[in-house]
Amino acid sequence: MKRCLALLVLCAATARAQAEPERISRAYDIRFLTTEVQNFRGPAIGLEESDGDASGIPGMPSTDENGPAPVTGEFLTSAITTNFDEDSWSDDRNRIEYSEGVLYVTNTKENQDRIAKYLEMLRKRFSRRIVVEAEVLLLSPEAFAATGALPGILPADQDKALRDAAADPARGKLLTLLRAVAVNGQRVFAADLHETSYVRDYDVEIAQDAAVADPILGDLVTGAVLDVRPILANDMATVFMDSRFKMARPRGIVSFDPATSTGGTIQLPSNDVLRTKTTLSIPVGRSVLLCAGPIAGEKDWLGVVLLRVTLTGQAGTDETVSTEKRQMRMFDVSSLTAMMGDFPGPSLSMGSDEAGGGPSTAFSPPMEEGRSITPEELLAAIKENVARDSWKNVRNKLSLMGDQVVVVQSPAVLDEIAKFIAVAAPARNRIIGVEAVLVGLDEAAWTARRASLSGASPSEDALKDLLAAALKGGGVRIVSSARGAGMSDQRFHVWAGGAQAFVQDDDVEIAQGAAATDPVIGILTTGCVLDIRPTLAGDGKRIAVELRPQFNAAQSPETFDPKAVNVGKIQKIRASVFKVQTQLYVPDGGWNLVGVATGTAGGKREILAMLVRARSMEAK
Amino acid sequence: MKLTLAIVLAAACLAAAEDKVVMHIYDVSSLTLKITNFKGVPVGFDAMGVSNDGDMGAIGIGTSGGEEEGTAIPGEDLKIMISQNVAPGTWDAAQHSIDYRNGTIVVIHTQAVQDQVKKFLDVMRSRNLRNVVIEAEVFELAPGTLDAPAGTVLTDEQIKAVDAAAADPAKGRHLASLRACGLNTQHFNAAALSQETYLRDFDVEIAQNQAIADPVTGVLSAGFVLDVLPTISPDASLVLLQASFYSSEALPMRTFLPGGTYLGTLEEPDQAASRTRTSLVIPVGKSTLLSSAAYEGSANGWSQVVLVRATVAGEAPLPYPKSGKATETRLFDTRAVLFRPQDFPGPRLGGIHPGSQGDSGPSTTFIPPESEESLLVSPEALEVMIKQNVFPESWVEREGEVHISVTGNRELLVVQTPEALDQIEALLGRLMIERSRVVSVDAWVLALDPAVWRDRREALSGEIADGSWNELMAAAAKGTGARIAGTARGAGLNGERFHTARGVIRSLVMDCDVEIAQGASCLDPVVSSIAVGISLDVTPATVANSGQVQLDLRPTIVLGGEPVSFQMKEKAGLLQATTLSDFGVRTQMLVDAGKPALVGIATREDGGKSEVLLLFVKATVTDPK
Repeated sequence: MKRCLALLVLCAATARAQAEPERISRAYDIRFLTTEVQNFRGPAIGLEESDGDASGIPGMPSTDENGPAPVTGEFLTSAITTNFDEDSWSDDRNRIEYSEGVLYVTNTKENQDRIAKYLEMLRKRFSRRIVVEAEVLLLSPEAFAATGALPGILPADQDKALRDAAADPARGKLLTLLRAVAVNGQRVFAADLHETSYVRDYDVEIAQDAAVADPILGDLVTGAVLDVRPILANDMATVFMDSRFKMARPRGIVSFDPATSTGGTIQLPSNDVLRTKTTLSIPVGRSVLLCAGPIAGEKDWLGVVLLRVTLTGQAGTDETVSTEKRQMRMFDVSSLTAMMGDFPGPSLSMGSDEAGGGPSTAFSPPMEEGRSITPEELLAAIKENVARDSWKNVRNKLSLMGDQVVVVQSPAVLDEIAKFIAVAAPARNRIIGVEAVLVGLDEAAWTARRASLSGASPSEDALKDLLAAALKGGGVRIVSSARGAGMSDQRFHVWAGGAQAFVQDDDVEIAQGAAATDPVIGILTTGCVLDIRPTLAGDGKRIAVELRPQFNAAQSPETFDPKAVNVGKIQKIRASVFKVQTQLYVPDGGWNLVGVATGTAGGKREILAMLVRARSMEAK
Repeated sequence: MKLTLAIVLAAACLAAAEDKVVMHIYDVSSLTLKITNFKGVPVGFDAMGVSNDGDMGAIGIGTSGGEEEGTAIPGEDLKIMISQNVAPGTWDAAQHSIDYRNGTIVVIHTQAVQDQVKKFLDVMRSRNLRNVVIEAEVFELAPGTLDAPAGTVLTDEQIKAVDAAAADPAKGRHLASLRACGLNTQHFNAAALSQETYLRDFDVEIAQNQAIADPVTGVLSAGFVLDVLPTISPDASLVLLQASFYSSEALPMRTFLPGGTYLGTLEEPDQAASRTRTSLVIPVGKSTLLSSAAYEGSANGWSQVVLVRATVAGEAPLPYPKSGKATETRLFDTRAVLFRPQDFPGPRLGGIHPGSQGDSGPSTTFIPPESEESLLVSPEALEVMIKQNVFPESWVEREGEVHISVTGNRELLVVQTPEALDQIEALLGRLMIERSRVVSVDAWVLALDPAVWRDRREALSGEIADGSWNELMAAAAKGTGARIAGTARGAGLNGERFHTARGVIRSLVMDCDVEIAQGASCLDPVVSSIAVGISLDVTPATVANSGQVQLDLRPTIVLGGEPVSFQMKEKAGLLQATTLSDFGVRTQMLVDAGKPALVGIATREDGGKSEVLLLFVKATVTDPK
């Protein structure tokens, strides 16, 4: 009997031992998930003042403040214990601990395999790279117009037509290619630069009876910089991207002799500029016309910048492979909550670039704080609109981890949240392409067209006819243009023009028996700035535009001799300025006459008319 | 029985389907978007440092435009309007909600209500998404081409006459076309300028045995600026337009060498300038005369005439939906009725205006005169007026059910019965008629031979007969014993100060400071501006229904101003001097509407010849409709 009992106990113990799953311990290296992302700002190039947005040192990149790590060790610990055999973690024999980029886990082999798959899914998701390529083309105005290309997402045929035109020397050429690679949310840049040193100014040192001019060397950096911060949307099909592009092409260096007893010859460089700062939602694999504008040094042919975004790395699935009644899921909302900065355009002017050298009227504002849904507002919107009553249950949780919303909820509610997030910011699924053209008419041409161009809304045909006539020339001409694209409710700009150094003024230095002048170098900025904030009207038909376009054209500087003792020559500038500042509603896709004013060009009166067209498109 | 059951079940299912709630997100950013106001950069009088009448002094060169934030429909107000007008009383249910965030409204309700919300937003867009286009044409016209008071709508014949004169170099020329587009109640502008840097002054640095003149450069701007703030009337047939028009033309730049050991050559810009600042009401789609001005110093004595036209682009406003309940909510556009016009003092002509900042001399601190209260309705007064005149007992008896308030966007939000809402609309229409009254003021400065003055003196004192007036004007046009020294025509809202001015601004070195050290001395030129021309600065107010107008008058005409060099001492430097004839009055008087009145008399000696200057004004009251 006792033997049977002992046998029974032995069999039970064996059976129990065989039913108890084996526990194993593993260490997972997850540094790739918990290391902060480093950001890199592109260098400043060209002549005009740095606007605070690029690296402060000409030609030198700089690091920006680091971005958050994709996930934290604490989140991973929580996610694993919630999603995989939640009850098992209360058993002392099972453990999970994070330390210094390593996750130590003790649990059954089955759970370990599921955890490994989960970490592999995260690895694939966060190791994806976003590749941004830019092609800068130079095209004749006729060749560009023939392609029918508009700023924004390009249909395949227009994309091809632009490249074909650039391949034909009679119609265009390729100026430069740039390629940058980033992880999700990282700011990176690509640059193609050239540097030239020159004597940009003199400082004056003076003593009791003597003065001497100390030459100051400048470093003119020209070329092209593409500076981007791409953020991959949750659906992996779109990239939300801050884009800063600038091209500065040298137009020559002119020598100027102020003809003073102390100073020497100053070198005054000038360059052509094509610049844009904007944010776009770009479909992966599609080409986008980022900006276009005339380049004066290239016979006013158009510089055209094309962007393309692709992904590299393995695609991962979004499934957490959990069967728990309540699961933890992470939603990447960075493309919704990323701040969409405002990028005010430069104010074209005759300005001083010397710190402290008199009042500066050169104004190149830095990026301003723009608009976005804050993560806290998004959390509040989710709680208000998805399974409102369920959040009273303390086991359901909603929190933030960097750019991720972390939710503990039932699978059905998690799916509802995913659907809500997909539509929470409808404006971020559309981009708006904008074109501005400044047309000049002589008196006869204006008199002939005045009636058709008057009134609240001149017809689309009248405006198209005006543009066609301007392309042909005669009494109507295209004075300048600029094209760009951006997001709804974002202020962005395109500047196509130039910058030129000139001797604007003289400061003076004086001592007991000596006096001398210290030249003040100014930077004259010219061209066309399209500075705009377009906002979708919500009715699918109209777009509200907040407009600040400006145009400035200057003649070559003239030398002026004040004929005062010990005072050097300076340079006079004559410029024509056209400005409109307003807000109005325009039909989506139609031309609008937003401003007319009468100015002078080359001594002749000319009526200047600014036309603007805004077109919205879905980012897919 | 089974069939009945089936039908009941089907109906229940249908009802359940209809009660099913759906979520929809509406993009309302265009309705809640903040309006940005853009002030234009003035050229001419302001930019050249000519101060305004009543100021202590001007800011100086470089008065800048700027941006300021305007108002929009607050998102919370929009949410209230939707919930009060669409399915009112259902929004408190647990399964329904409406939430405004960041330019979007999230609605959870049945599909039927979602459709009504969409339609309601279409109504709001039709009433708010409108552009206003202001066009201005500027001409120079020979005398007699256009004889109409400012503020009046031009007839087709008058427009043709102006166009014909502009095409004939002997009768006129077209100076500029301007077009500015913007939103209702927004301040916006359009400008085309030419800019030129120039050497405007020298500062002097001095040491023991040395001195040096530090050149000071400036930027001279010339061109045309149209700066407007339009407000559409509730019925969209009128535009209440606050307009500032600036023009300047750079005349050939003079150079001046003050002399002395250390100074160099200065550049002295002269500008022909004009400026009109006023608020008036103009009918949509019609050309209206904003202002005209001429004086003997202007080109051929021709008038500079500014015509403006306002048009409105947008959909026809859709009617608010009927809720079917006892009360409805409506948003009345009262921005034109509540518009608070600004007073616009005219430029102070003549005089000596110290130019550069930092120069010693009279203060250049700008102290604006106290804005006079114009005739207007305040939001509080409007609420009281409506409560006292529209179903007065209902506001007390039905407190809680009815409501009236003025929003931050100066619109009137009212919850009332449909009958009361219709009465409020009619009341606002009548207020708008009162608000629309415009008073034009014409001014003439005639110069008569003393003999002609003696002959006509009696006829021109007191009430002037039409025949005497017409004879005088005919004689002045021919130049027989009389001539027109200047004219100015402007118009503005009843009770508002406005002005129109035209003239030439000159820079002169009229003074110098000195700098001295142990072994060196140097003159430091002081650059000043003078302004000659004509300015009509007036505040008109109609006197009940008497047919009279009270005028608060500050007109001026300044003639002369040619610079003459004056050598202080051999090799010790040159200054510039000038002689001005300054004829102006400051007075308040009652005039009969439509009749010229003699306001002031002065005499002037010019090259040994004496003449009598007479200032006449005439006020005309216009109702734009």
